[in-house]
Amino acid sequence: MPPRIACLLIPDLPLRAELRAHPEFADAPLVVASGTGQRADVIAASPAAQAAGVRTSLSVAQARAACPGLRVRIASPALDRAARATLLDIALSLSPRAESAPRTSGLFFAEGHVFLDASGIENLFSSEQAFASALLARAESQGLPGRVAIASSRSTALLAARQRMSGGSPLHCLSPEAESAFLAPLSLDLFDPDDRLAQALTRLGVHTVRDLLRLPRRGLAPRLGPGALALIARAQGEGPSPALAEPTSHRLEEAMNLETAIDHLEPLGFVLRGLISRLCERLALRGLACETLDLRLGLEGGGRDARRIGLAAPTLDLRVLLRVTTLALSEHPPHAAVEHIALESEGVPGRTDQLDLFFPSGPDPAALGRTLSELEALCGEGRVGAPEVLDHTHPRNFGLGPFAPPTGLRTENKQASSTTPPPPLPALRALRPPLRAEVRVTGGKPSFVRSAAAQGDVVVVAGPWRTTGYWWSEEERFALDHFDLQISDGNVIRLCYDWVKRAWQIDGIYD
Amino acid sequence: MPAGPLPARNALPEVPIASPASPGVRPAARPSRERISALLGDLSGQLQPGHTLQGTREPEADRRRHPSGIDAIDELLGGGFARGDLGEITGPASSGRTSLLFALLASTTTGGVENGGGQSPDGRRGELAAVVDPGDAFDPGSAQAAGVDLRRVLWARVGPGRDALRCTERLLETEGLPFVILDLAPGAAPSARSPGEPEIPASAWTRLARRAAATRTALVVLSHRRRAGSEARIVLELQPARAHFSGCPPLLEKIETRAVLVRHPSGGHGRSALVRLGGSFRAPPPPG
Repeated sequence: MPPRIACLLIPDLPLRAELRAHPEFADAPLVVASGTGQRADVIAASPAAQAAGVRTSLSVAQARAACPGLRVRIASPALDRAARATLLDIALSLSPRAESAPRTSGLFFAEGHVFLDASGIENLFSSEQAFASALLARAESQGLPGRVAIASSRSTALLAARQRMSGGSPLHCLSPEAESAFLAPLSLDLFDPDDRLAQALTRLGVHTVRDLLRLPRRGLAPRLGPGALALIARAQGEGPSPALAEPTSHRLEEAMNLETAIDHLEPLGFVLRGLISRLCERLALRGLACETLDLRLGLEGGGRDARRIGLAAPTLDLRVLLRVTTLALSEHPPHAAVEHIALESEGVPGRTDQLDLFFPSGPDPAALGRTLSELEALCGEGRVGAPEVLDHTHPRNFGLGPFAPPTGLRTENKQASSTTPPPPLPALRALRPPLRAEVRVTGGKPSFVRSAAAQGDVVVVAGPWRTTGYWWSEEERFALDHFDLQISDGNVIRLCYDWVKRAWQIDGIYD
Repeated sequence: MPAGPLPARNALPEVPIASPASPGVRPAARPSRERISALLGDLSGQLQPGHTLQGTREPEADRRRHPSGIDAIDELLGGGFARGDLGEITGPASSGRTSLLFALLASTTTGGVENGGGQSPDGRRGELAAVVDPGDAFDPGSAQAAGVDLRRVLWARVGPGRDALRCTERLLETEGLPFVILDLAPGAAPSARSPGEPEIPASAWTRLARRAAATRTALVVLSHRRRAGSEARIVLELQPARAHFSGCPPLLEKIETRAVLVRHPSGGHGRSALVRLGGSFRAPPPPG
């Protein structure tokens, strides 16, 4: 069975890329220009602008003359890249194998398209038509309305999608048997041959695929160039069509250049909201969540500002992501006004949980992830998680690991499987960092303590217990003598003598 | 080697522990279900369209509680700290607040809620708990020794001030997190360690109490003095009695403290119990 390739084509990608970033211009007469100045060409025009007589290839001055209230935006490579990447995300939301086509030049330079593997989709959709409809609907939901065609090869699918640009239904599913008949009357302009070949074919009176295939092959390449043979292969639906690959990178980027530099956090927050929202939508299309945000700012005067914002758990919550980003910016604001913003995120699978029928269910993993992210924004990176007792000899050693509580279906550890509860113990209330103390020693043992935590005569003393370690390392070596003391002021403290620092310290209070 | 009694601090007169099933107390007559249904029907008929009647709190007896596993304390509290309530544990340093906190955490994270304070046989009934720790005083080693399943504890090492309250509020908004602890007790003597301790406005406590009630989360505040005012439905004050050292050479064995019930929705104010929090958890030094 021949492979089936779907092509999603957006004919006016620069316009759609602009409207993704500025949805407020959706109904306004808007054109995208190739550059600055009045002589720049219009490369895409909105329906409202077209209704006013604006066409592509006009200059900006001519377009303004035709439509007085026209809004003109300069084509942004950053928005264009993001829109093309979004096309790939849309394709990957419906097929595991997809590939974004490179940007074309010439007649169809404004279009963007993506190919995806549609083989075997009958198992998921009732028909190819239903699959194409779903693909089109998903593209429209992302602000990228276009055309979808399905055929046996990339080139035929692309031609079918281009042919639909002239009007009619945006969906076209070509069966393998009908492809030859479909291709025969097509104009060669749809193949966008290079100018020299196009002129030569016009001189010969070759305008359609049927005309081209009638030409004798022998001597064609020396006369018209190797491009002629490639064109014939495409006209026969046999163009180069390597197998579509599964994407290896899940790194997504959204970026935009600002028309005017922003030097306040509040307006910057509005821009960030749009960027993060679009990034989240793309991650959701791939079934991924955001765990880190790489924020790059281009500053006025040529400066750069780059920072990584870590999240305690993967999330797609716009409110949380916006909050942690604005918190990061408010704590360390950029030193100049911002002209360019880029946000990158490596998508990771979101947390899922298998619920148990008989045991208490914890919080929803997504809700917990949002909570953890917000807590980390409040507490600081690495200050929220599950406490850990590390396998280490240092008495003050502890860790803080990721908070991933076991679910009811997972195997419990030995501690939890104990059937006899341990006796309640006097707990230690840690002092971090340890508190310096003045200690009077009598007979080798503390007899009086003075510190901010406790002060008075020692009533009872237990100890010392010596702990040493890392004697081979100048930086990490430690030697501590610990005492448990009851002081006359009522406190029961853990006192230690640090042999490395030659100082008395209070590690904690028994409470 | 038992030590002498600690200097008296906030000494209260001895109050005998009253039994909950005291024969001298008659329970208030409860309306029948039929009467309640009829009353609700009448009230619903008088409401404007679109408005509904909502109960404010579950009956005390039906509410799930977080016991400590320490019988005397649980008896004082009527079974433990109830979900949806704001409770307070107050007391000076070395009064056993943290030991009681760890007992509550151990009970919650190992399934003591379902099992009346003991661990469930396989630990699968364990629930999650969160500790907001502006004083950075939580000691994981000590908590683990007390039986806390650390994997089920969310430790937020937040800075002091309003961030701690924000943190607590955010945790209370998370459905399915049944037990949250806000540890406002300083690591040492309050006057020495936190001279500029900001006063938390009453409105903040109202807000936290409402959040806790809305998500049916037990919020317990640990402090050296009462902080939540009238918003705290349960207030337990711990008064240090004495520290026990035993053996030769001596080892710290337990802390004896008096738990006094200052406030409770079902009454019983002023009842107290003497509890011993402890047990030698440090191995004696090797001979020689």
